[in-house]
Amino acid sequence: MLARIRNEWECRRIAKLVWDLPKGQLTGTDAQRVKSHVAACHGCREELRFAERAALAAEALGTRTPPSARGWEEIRGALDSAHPRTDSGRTRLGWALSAAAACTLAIALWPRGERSPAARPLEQERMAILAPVRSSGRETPPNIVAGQTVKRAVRSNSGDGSHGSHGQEHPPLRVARTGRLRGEAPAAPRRKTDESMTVRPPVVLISRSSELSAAVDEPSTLVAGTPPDAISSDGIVLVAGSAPAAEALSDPSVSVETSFSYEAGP
Amino acid sequence: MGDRRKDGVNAVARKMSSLGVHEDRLEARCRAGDLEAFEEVYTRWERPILRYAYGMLNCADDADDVKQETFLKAFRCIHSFDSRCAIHTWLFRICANLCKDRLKQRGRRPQVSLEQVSSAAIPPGPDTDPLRRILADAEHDLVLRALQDLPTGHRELLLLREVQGMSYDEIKDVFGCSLASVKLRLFRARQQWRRRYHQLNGEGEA
Repeated sequence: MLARIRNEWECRRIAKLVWDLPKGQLTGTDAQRVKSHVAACHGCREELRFAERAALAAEALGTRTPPSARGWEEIRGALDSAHPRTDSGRTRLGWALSAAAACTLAIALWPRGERSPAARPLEQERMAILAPVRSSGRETPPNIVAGQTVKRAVRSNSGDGSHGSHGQEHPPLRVARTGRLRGEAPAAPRRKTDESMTVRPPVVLISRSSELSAAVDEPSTLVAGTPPDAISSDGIVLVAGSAPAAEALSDPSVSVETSFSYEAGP
Repeated sequence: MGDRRKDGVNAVARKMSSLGVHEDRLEARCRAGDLEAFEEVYTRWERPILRYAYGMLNCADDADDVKQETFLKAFRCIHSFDSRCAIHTWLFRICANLCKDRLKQRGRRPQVSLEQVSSAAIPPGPDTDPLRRILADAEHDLVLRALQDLPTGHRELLLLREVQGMSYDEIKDVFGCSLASVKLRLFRARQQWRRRYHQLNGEGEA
């Protein structure tokens, strides 16, 4: 009985060593111990045989792994495009100091007047109210249709909940598609825009503008889930008209009504 | 005789020490954004990472993608590299996570593809006897097929230990678990690998 228990313990200890023997990782004493044990133990001998097979197969896997078709140059290109190349001796601290100096200089030299729209941080342009391009007057604008160019009045995110407009000229955008997510658009009250129009709460999908490229992060998520930071209280949403957005629009699981209208305000 | 042996040991110690210093410097240079240091890391670890990804995914294209993604991700997030572990264990950790993501995307366990693990792709080895070579290839196919059939957790452990030759400590760093856990899981993985091999070989459980 005692001998059997002792044998089982020895087998367990050998089982840990047996896998290192074919790899040549066992020193003299351990190697000798394994060899003498497997000579008398059928189970451990089988274990060793499989360990030897496994070691050979592992070596074969290394040989069979096909060579990579893509190399360092590709990674280097991606890194270069993301971060311009640095000198090898240049440290992060050096960059931080340079950046801080540049920012200080920019703030000191920046004109105190009205900033140009292009210089405004994109984060502030998240919410946008659309207004169609009009020649003159305050007539009821036509329904916005896909392909139409629209102007936009950007509302600042002042944080106090106000919806003031800058009333500035912004680059026109092309409407890729208009619509409303069924059951998704919030039932927001009608409100006036700076152009005295009342806008129903629709969902508007607009083609990409480089200036607004960061305004919407995930078009597909946006269309499907309408995250709160990307949809205004009017239900107006900006979607960059990139390929992913187009894919999201073609997603049959997304229900989009293609009706959208502007109404003249009082 | 004794002196000569002592000299040899000292030489090895010096070599190991210089390698360690070199690794430290390399990591520091990587952290500083030195692309040449990145390239050195890439050259050193590209093939092992590719081999690991190929073993996990069993698809050359996917493995290549994951390998590139691993290095890109590593270099972009080098600031988050914890210098308590070696850079290669960190690379393997990233690669292991990417492989798991890729397998999840597939939505199924990787299918064994003997075409992909084809013995025809093996360049002629030193064994010139065609019959012996065919038999050996068939044997390797079976062992690797058994490996592919294992659950992801077991497969990644076995690939690191048996194919990459990593130490228990290194594996512990890759998976962020205890040494005892690594040993236990490895023990079970080996048992399961062997059982699966015998099943495939029509021997039942040995």
